[in-house]
Amino acid sequence: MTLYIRNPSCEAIELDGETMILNPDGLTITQLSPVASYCWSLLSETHSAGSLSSAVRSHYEETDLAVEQDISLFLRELMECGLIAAAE
Amino acid sequence: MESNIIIGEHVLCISFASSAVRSIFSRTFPTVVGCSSNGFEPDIAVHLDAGYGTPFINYNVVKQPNSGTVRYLRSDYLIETDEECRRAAIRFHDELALKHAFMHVYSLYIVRRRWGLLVHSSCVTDNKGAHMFTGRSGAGKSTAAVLSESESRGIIADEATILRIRPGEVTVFHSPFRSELQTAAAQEPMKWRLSSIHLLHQAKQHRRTPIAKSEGLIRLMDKVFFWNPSSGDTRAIMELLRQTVDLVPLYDLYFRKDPSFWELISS
Repeated sequence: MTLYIRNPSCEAIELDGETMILNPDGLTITQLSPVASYCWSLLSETHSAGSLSSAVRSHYEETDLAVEQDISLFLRELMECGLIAAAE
Repeated sequence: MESNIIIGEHVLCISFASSAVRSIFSRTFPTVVGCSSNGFEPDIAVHLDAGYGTPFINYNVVKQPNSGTVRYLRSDYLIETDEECRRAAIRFHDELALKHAFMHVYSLYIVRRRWGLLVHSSCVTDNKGAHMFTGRSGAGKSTAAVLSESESRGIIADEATILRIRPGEVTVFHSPFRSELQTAAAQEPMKWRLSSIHLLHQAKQHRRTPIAKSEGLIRLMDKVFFWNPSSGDTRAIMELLRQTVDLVPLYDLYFRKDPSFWELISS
């Protein structure tokens, strides 16, 4: 089971309730949806795709059945952007 | 030979390798304001010399850190500066190279101090403050500025707007970094509150629509004049941009080439 954690050099930028993640090394900025923003807040500590999915199910009353798939895709995209890393 | 000049809130002490270099500087920056050297330490010391490189090829800049200094090399200029950019030596090929190298040094200085940003845009003042116009190449930054000029409005930038950014306030200063529209600055430094930012699009009808702050931040990122940023520079630029879009409303401005688009801005 892979565990993930934020890249410590990344910074969240909050504007009007929206969250964007700056990766100053890759010179990228990534805009997050509200659910993604919630997941990002959790990724200050290590999480697996399963533990994040459970947290999302608990936090949001109406959660899509495909939440595990969405979380896996989200984590893959964050990895590709260099915003998170697999934890040791 | 030396001259003290003011850009933004900063005093720059310029030393020239020869009178010919001084003449090139005067032709390149005809509206720059001089000041006496009495009573204050310059913020930046810049030494200028000509005879470097070849004419402009492209905007690629190579950064070469050394012990305590950094060199920035382009085909038509060479800058050597200390880490804080308090002292810089510029060797340049021609007027274009001198202008770009000087912008490079000033942008480094103001970003490193978290003072503000140099933004690729024109800027016009009216009785409400200042209004910045930016956009893609060819979108009409200079055109919008030319169309704006009137008794009650003045052009303070046509290529690079100097933004002073601090908590609760974004102000702009007369910019000597011009492409074609040279307008004189007042002898005393003046600043204006930045009231609006417009991303330009040429169109058949005038129309203005607000831009969300987050989208505005992303769309302004590539308008900042800065070369080879370190991760610390990128953080500084993004924080300064965040403060700007948080304080100043942004709009998409669709305009045709007549000054009546100001009715949308002034209303």
